[in-house]
Amino acid sequence: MTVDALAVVAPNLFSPSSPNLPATVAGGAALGIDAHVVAPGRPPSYALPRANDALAAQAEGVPSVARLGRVDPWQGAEAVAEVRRCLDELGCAGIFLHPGEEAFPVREAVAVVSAAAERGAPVVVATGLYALSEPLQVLELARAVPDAVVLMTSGGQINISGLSMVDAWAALQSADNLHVLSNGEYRQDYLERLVRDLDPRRLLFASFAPYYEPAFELRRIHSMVVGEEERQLVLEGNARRIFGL
Amino acid sequence: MIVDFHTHVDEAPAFGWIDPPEKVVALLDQAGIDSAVIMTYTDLPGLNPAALEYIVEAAGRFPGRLVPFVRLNPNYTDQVPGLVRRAVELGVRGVKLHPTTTLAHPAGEATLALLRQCADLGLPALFHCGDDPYTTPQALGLAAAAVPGCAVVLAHMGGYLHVAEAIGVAEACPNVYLETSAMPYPELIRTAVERVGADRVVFGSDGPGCNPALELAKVRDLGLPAADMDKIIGGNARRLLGTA
Repeated sequence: MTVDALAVVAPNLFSPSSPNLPATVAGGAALGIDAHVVAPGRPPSYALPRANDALAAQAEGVPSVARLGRVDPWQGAEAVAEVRRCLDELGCAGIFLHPGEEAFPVREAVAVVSAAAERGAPVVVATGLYALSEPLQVLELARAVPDAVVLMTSGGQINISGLSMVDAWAALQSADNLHVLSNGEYRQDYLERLVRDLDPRRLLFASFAPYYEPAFELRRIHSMVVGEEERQLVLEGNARRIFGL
Repeated sequence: MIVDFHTHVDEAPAFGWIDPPEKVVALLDQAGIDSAVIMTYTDLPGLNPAALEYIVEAAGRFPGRLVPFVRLNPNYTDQVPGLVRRAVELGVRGVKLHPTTTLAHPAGEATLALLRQCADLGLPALFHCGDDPYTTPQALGLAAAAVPGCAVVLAHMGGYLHVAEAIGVAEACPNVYLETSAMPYPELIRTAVERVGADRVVFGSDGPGCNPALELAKVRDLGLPAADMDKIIGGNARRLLGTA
């Protein structure tokens, strides 16, 4: 069994060809992905509450899907209220923050992350963005809200020279409430080290489609030299535990 | 014949990376790769003064499998020309440059002088090409345009955030090649082939940190025409190395 712990579905201002939810589920099925955690893309209207509503409507009757509510921390009290609405009324399993697309540094997200933590809901943060969500910036967020379960995309870093990997590793070692998604993490030895030396319960397979390609991202996990029990945690168990799938 | 244009062999305790040649060869065997370009993690002159002899000796232990490149810091302008000559005498077939570690701007005079020497000797220059200043495709494009006789290979073809720019630079500079390692968007390799041509796209893995089998699958799964695939996974590399 395999769970894709993050895909972003249409409409998406930044990726006009993004698949919608049914297409995401069908594409996943072709790869042997049984369940999905999905977040709405940023709609051309920029109105995130409407995108949360639209995704909830798309997901009605679609099995094996957990939804993340998307908020913009710059909206202040309205964003906090939207977190509560997503979790209490729309049935979302967690919250999705994209500091790049909403243009905020993660230190501005303390209030929305706290609101999610009050309800025991995980928060996925698009991580590795220069000056917005560098791994040590996300560490500060995780420390500011120690009760929150925070998941960093992209192995915690986006830097092909590997220099940010050291910061991502330091962040993960410093805060037990930080977890990491596998998408785009090009260093196989780093993924294996996360499993071997950190904690196999803190790494989750995610495609982060459409920004990354699900087939190749899944192949990363199957290529890891780790025990089958640990691989299964990465592929499925951790996502089911954290997102309540 | 499959050639991996980018792997590392080094035993550098300062970096915590202990990757002897046996480790790379085992991964090549697993992936069905015939040979690989190898280079150190350390620059010369620098941390390991014996790096040239080390990489040549490592290649010598696996004749026909490993092709040595020398990794240089162009800022040592008094030593680099002699190091290149010595490297060629020892069988080195190219140069690796990582401006993040050397802080030598690719279009600075020190690097350009080295590239001119590479052009004279027929050595390709493999540059780390990614998301940091000094390594962006545009910065490397300045160097490639200044020394059109040197084959400039952009490792990682722009990394995470500069792939479109890398393809653009390759379109503008006929001496620029795109090397596929680590770059996490397989479909953009297809785009590169469509826009630049299969003659200037080169398979590399950046092993052993990256898995050569996974990186090779990334290219092969594109299902490109066989003639194009042959060039990308081996033919172009052999041409650059002078072994075609």
